[in-house]
Amino acid sequence: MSATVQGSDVPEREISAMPMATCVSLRCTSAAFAELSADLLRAGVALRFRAQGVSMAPLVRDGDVLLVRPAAPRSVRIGDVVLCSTEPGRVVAHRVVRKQIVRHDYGLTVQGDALSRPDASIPGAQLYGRVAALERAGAQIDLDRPVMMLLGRLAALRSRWNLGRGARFRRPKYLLKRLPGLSKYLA
Amino acid sequence: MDQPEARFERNPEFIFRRIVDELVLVPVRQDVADMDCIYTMNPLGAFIWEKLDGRPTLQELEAAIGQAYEVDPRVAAADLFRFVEELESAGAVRRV
Repeated sequence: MSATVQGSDVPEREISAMPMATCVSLRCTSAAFAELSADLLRAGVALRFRAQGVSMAPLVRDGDVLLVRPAAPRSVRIGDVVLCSTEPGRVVAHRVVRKQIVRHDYGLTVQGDALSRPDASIPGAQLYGRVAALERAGAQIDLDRPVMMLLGRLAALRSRWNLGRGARFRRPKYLLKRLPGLSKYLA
Repeated sequence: MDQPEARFERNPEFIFRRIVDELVLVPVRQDVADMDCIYTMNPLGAFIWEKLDGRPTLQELEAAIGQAYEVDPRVAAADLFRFVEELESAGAVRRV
């Protein structure tokens, strides 16, 4: 339809060029997805969307469908996979590897299982929801099952161990380097 | 769609949002929003969606478009009917 809006600054070309409604799949990496998902989850609506990327492999594969339910920081546990904003306009579904109380608020450290470093620690306000299930090839994996919760907890511990590994070996390495003849091998 | 007096209402299972310059319609079934098939609308589509809040007839919608837009009434009617038909087949609106 070619039309102009009376008393509006919407250009005629904008109205006539677009179909009135188009069915699209919103990419989970887009800023629109970040805003819409935050808006819906805060309104108490769960989300179903297709994951992109491999940062949570092997648990979440590219193309898996995730079911995210609204969650408060208080109810989230270490090992849970959460949907949160790590920077403006970007959301990730990563695992909680650390949970702290910082100035009367919850601080969450999230990390992709396949990543060597965590994302920045986020305040509770940037948490949108918790991944409750994922679908792959028609099968649904319920992440609230005890075995999945245990595996999640172990994955979080592994990430934390990897995170602290550098610091853990720094002191012994320093002492060994002081021994004559070993410093050249440990440089 | 050949019934100008047919009256329509929005399906409450669809949520309308203005997000980052986009006007989107999200289907929500059993409290789960399906982000795999959302509808983006142009400003005219959004205008019609907002008017659907008052359970208008197609004739009333046509008149509202005529008041707000400078457009050939026959073209407006044809596009409006097609749009409402699309919304009905998607389940976003239903006849009252």
